[in-house]
Amino acid sequence: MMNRTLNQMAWRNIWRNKTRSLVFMGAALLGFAVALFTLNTMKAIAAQRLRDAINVQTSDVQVHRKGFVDDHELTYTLPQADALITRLRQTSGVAVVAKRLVVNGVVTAPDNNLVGEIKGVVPRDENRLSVLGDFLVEGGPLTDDGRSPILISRRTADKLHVRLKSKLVITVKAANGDLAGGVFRVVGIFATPSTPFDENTVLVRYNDLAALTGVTAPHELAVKLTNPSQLAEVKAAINAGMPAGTQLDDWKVLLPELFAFDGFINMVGILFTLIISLGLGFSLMNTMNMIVAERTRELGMLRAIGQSRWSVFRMLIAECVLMMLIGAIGGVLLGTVFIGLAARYGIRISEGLGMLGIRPVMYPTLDPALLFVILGLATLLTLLISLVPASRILRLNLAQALKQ
Amino acid sequence: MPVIDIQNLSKVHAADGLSVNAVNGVNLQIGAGEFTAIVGASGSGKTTLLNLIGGIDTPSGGEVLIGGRSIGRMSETERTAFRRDHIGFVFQNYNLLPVLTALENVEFVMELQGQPVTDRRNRAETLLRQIGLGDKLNVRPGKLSGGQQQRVAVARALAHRPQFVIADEPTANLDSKSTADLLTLMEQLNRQEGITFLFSTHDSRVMEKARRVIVFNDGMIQSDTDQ
Repeated sequence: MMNRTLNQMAWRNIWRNKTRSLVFMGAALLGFAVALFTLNTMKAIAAQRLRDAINVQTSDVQVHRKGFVDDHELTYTLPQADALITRLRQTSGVAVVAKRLVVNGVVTAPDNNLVGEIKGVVPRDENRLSVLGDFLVEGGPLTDDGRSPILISRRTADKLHVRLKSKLVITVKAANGDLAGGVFRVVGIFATPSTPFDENTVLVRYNDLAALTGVTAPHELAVKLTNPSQLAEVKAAINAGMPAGTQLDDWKVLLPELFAFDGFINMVGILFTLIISLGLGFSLMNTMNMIVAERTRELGMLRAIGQSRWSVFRMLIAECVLMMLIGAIGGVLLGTVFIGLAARYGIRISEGLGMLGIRPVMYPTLDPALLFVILGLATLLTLLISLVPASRILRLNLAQALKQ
Repeated sequence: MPVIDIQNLSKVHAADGLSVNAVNGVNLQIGAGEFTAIVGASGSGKTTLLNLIGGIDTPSGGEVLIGGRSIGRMSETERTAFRRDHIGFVFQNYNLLPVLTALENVEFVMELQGQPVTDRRNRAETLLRQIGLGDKLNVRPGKLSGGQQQRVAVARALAHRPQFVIADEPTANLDSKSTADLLTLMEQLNRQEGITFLFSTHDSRVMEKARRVIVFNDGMIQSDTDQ
């Protein structure tokens, strides 16, 4: 019962100085709203970048001959590839397996040329595995129909001054050591969020590239999982029956900068939230110090008539926690509204961040776990910060306090 | 046995390298049902003496025995509980809790004691009606006059049926009418219910009402007379 009265007193005490309490709660509200919005947006950027890179560039897991990842040597093809593909497709948790030829070559147009990575893909499998089709801005995906089709990026098209249906010559090193060239016709133009991928990659049909190079066995098997969160389990299952001389890598190894970026984003988010929290913490400490200074006589009177020091201490802590929680809950609600609006209308981010694989418009989503992180942080912070001014109550000299 | 038995009590205040004997070797007994005033000039040590008797301050020497128990030898926790259960306080500045209503203020100490809600509510209502504030039960102190606030403070001091009430300059901030009303109320409670009152004052009207007047000067009892 006493707890109820103490909480009631704490609540009423908040409103004794409405302006001061509202200023503090307003600061907490805005601080936590901005923190929630920023954290969710940063997480969404990291998640989008990761999702796009995995779905377009690497897939969840890749199988290569040992050494191929470091040196794209034409002869580093996978041994017993057909048997391996069959086994992979039978592995639980594997959704799609697509074989690829990956060759460095020169793409030549009448006005210009560039050096890049030529990927030979099986259209039917690749279209199930990759979401590159979602980023087509002109034309269509690779199919089994037509003669020597090629997909290039918008950046490549602009650099080579070509367009849909233009002809390009691809020159590569063949298996016999000679240079081999072939004519391809642009059937589709894509624009992914990743500038490096767009500037360095063109896609042709597997059989066309095999015919050009004389290499028939794949360099790479891209594997898409049914559930990406089961990465470790599926990797273990695949690894158990891998032929000698091959290696299995997941996206964390294949895209190390992306993995590092994910960690960096998380760290920046935590730092940002800590800075906001520290600002609020000092504000709270200042408010609490003023409260204790203003109410010294009253707090002394409470002690004099028989309220224990810990009970008075708890009442002050409750007052702080209530103020901070009101601000934090308001901030969470406001932040949620911001995120809802951003999810609907998008946030325009600099085009230049395409170099980092970040889309120009972001649509953040709310991570419910972050709501609890924010509220938990607010409570913990308040408890820690309010201990300092509230502890003055424990050392209060009653006779001195009553004189004030 | 006296309610309050003070033996060779002293209190030395030290500040800026100076020592001041605020209370200096005081011996005093207060019996049950007394209505005693401690009078003296400002700085004479009245408030310090009351603080020592009420367990708000601790003595430098000597003892304060209340019902035979030495309040100075209690731990801080014991002393807090002792104040809550055995002593009523009335302060010069009323010191009501501004966020509680008159009724809640009077109930507060009883609630600290853990009394059942019905009992304490009935007791608080009865007391407030008895002191003429039956129509102000749910009014907060800010909406009451000084005299009304001090009457609520008296009700709060009496609510938990303490052994005695300490009142430090209870009329210092009151006008003459409120002073007269408050004195009449305290005197009535003393005569009718036998409540022991010990109060400090330098107000001649209060001294006239007291049945025992102790004159305090330089931390020592100068005279102690019954009227």
